[in-house]
Amino acid sequence: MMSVLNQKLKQDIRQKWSMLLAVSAIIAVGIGCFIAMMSAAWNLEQAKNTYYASTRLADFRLDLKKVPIQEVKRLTSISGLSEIRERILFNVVLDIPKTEKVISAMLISMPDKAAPVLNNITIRSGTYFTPGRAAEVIVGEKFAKARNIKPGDIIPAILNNQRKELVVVGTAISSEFVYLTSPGSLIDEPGNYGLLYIKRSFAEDTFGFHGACNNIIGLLSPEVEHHAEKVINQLSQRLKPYGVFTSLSRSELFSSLALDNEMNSLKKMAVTLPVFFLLVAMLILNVLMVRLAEQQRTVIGTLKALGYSNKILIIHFMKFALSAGMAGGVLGIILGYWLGVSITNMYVIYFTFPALISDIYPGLFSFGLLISILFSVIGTLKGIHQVLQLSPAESMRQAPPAKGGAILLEQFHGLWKRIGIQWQMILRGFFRNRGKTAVSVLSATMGSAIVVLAFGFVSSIGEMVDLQFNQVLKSDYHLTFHNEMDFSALDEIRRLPGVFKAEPVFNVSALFRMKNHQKHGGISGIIRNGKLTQPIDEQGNSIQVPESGLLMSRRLMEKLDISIGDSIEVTPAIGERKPVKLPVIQAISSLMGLMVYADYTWLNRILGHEKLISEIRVITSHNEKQKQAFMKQVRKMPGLASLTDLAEQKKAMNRQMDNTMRYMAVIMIIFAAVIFFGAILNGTLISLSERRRETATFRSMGYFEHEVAGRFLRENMTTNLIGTLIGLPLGHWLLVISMQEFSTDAYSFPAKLAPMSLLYTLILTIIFVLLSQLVVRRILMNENWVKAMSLKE
Amino acid sequence: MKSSKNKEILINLDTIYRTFHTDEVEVNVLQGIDLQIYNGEFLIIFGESGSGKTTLMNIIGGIDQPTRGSISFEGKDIVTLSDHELTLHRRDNIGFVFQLYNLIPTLTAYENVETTTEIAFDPMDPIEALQLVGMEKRANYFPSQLSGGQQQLVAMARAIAKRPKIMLCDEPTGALDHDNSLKILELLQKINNATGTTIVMITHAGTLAAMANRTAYIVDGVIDHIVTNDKPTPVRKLNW
Repeated sequence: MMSVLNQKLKQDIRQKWSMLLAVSAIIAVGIGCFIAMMSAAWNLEQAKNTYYASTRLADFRLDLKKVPIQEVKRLTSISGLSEIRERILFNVVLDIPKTEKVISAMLISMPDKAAPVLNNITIRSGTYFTPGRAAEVIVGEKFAKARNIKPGDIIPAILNNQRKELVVVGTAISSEFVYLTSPGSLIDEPGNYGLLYIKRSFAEDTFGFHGACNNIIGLLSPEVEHHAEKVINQLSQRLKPYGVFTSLSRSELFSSLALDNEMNSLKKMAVTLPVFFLLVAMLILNVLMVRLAEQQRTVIGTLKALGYSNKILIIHFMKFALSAGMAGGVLGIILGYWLGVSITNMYVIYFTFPALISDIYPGLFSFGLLISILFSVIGTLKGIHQVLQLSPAESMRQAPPAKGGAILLEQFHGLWKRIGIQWQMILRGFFRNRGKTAVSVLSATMGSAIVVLAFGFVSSIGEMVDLQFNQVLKSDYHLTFHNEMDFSALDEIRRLPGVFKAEPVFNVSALFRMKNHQKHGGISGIIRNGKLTQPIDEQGNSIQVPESGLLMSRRLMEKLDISIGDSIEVTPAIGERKPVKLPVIQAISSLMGLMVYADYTWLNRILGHEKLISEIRVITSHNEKQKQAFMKQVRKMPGLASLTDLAEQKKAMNRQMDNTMRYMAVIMIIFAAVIFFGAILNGTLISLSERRRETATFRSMGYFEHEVAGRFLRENMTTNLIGTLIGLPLGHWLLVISMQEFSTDAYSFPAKLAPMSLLYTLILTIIFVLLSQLVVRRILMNENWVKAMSLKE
Repeated sequence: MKSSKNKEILINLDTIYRTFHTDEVEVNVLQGIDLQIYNGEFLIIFGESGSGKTTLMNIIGGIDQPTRGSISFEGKDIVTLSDHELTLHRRDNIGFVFQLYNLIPTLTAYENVETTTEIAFDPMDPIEALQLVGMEKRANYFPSQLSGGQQQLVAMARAIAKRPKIMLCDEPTGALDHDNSLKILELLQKINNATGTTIVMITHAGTLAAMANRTAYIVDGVIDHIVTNDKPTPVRKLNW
């Protein structure tokens, strides 16, 4: 008995293959998205876990002014601390020959002899340090590659105001810097900021750190892992007299944070984005199955009369829908795997792992297949309900004639008459097939929301770069110093060749405390009415620092549970480190880091200092000669820790955005196109199958093929434009939510949608509809309408 | 009703063959039809099911092309016309009436007629066409609100509204009861008499031959014989 039904199934599938393919394509994209993003996230996670474990990445890190090793050793008595390592860590300026720019690097001490220490490095070329020679250096692999540095090369560097020649013995990577950025930057700039590992003994000699360190890393015992913050706070409390600048848990380290954020974003997207596709596929399948049940009512009735049970018929119809679900699932797995590999390969450029492998996840694939089956089964339910409702006698009778009757719009008589027959037919059709019309509109809504989201991703990140580099930071370079300088440093900088403007900044690392909330952070003292640093309020408008009090990022205020007007306890990490109460005057929008601004003079005064400078921001001439002269002089400046080139940062950021966000956006738009095409073709094919006789009649009456096709075009254009108009605000809302989700303590993205994006989305919709129309016309051209004319309805 | 003796040829079919290819089978539906259709006549094409009546009608109406042979309309060859030209030919000259009415369910009776008048060269007012078939009072009814006979009347109004040179009716009473059939046939005769529109009607009811000027009997894809009737009987008087 089943073999006859299977024969019918084959025929049904053969007849409706194009509709099923359209549904399968949408399912495939949904499942593909899910598998691609999830497997990319899992690839990263796997690589991360293996790497962190094998190199024993520390659970926390503390940066201090200077602390005796004896004191560090005593910390082991703190319960919950299982291992501790002290390091000497400095930002230094390199003096690379034939390089005009000032290149900075982070210098980190390593044991003279290789040992399985915390945050161990993995040698990639050359060797670990050799005995005998003091000034040896192991260079971060990415930097070495970008600068073409090889073992045996010499890197001249300014260490503690002395020029030293470091001999490169090897290159290495570190799990601590899977994602390396220069201070104050979000983007890795491989050739502009490097990692240098030097011998502990050499670091002690060079920086005068005998028996002392300025960086502590450690592992926590498993039982306190979940309340790491408490132990870290305890540690910073103990070390308070030594000036703790920052105390960060592993997840707060920028490298870990960036990696975790990326994985989390991927996972969130993997779960949310496919919902759009699967929902649309499910609804289209629903329409398709209901129509199939209607079209085959006589067949169903006959089968029932012949004694086929409901159960057999349910399985029969289910199989039909499952063919779309299974095909979509399998295609989705293939697409997802391929796309997952491609996304993972993209991360190889940004994240440094010993190995980042694209794995195959059978469990994930099976789950993907299961979801596609589940959605296709749900999409079949209404059709099956219809099959069950039919009694054999009733279903063998011909279906009642298509409903007639006026629609509400016809009450506007004048207008109704003026729109012409074609539109009258279309509008009545919409209202008579409400379910199908709603699915068409909804599909376009989903498709266009994804397009808006794709445009929004690009423009939001563009906006962030623009706000950060054109509105907040207007300087060309930031010069930071190892120690606070007095005001004369500013005059010195102002006298350098090509400097148009220079403004001082007083950065203070501090512990913020409000009731039982506390957080390490920093205050930037900038000059009032300065031109080079302009904080922005939450609406993105430039504001000035108040004469007294703090401007604080909204995110930090929320973390500390502060309202405007509250006074917060601030314990600076410099000077006498006495806590002071400072009022928060206004909330600001902070794009990078949890920024707190105050007036330069006021901050100095309130902390008992006299015009100290920790950073100078400058605008210089863009004349090449003057630039060269400026760089030459800067390089010689004593106490310089780093020079940040903002134009370079902006360029790197835009480059990364081009590579990643635009790539993502293009893929999202292609996927949205699948929704549009799938939905339009399916809707049209259903309409066509129901209106074959009508279409044929029009042709016989002397209507041209393009006139007949025009009706489908008008229908599709109307539903899709309405859907798109609804999709625009939905897309914007999704963008706002996404940007909030993607934002972290380290960076936040404003949700920005260029007005033109809305227009582009509408234009894309029109293009998608027109392209689908080409297929619709092909179908109409191939239609045997002589045969269709005598069809029963 | 013009006499066929006037011999003013509207359509000339010359050795028309039509072969259909389905999968592996070749079906020769028309096997050399020769037929002249005269201007203003009422011609019945009579034949059993599968004799090729509808295929012949489709070819006359320019919605299908012969495999071999030639057809001219008012002396102009229509076999060589492009799809565009053929569409224009149908639009201007041919009015179709189908067995299953083929009305557009989403349009009212008036609007169904409008589908013709809005593209025709010199159409009637839709109301005028509906008056001609006595359906003006049902102008705002949708097909689903009309009986089968009424639907066919609207379909005839739709066909006549363009003032076609020829009306092709494919078993127009095939789906109707006796009374309604009578009404439709009477109307066809009336249109033929009053407007001089050439009418070709397919039927397999042999008694209807008496209402036409000529009846062509088609058997296995060829014209078996043609019977000319100089005095067509009014439909009411047919023993049918």
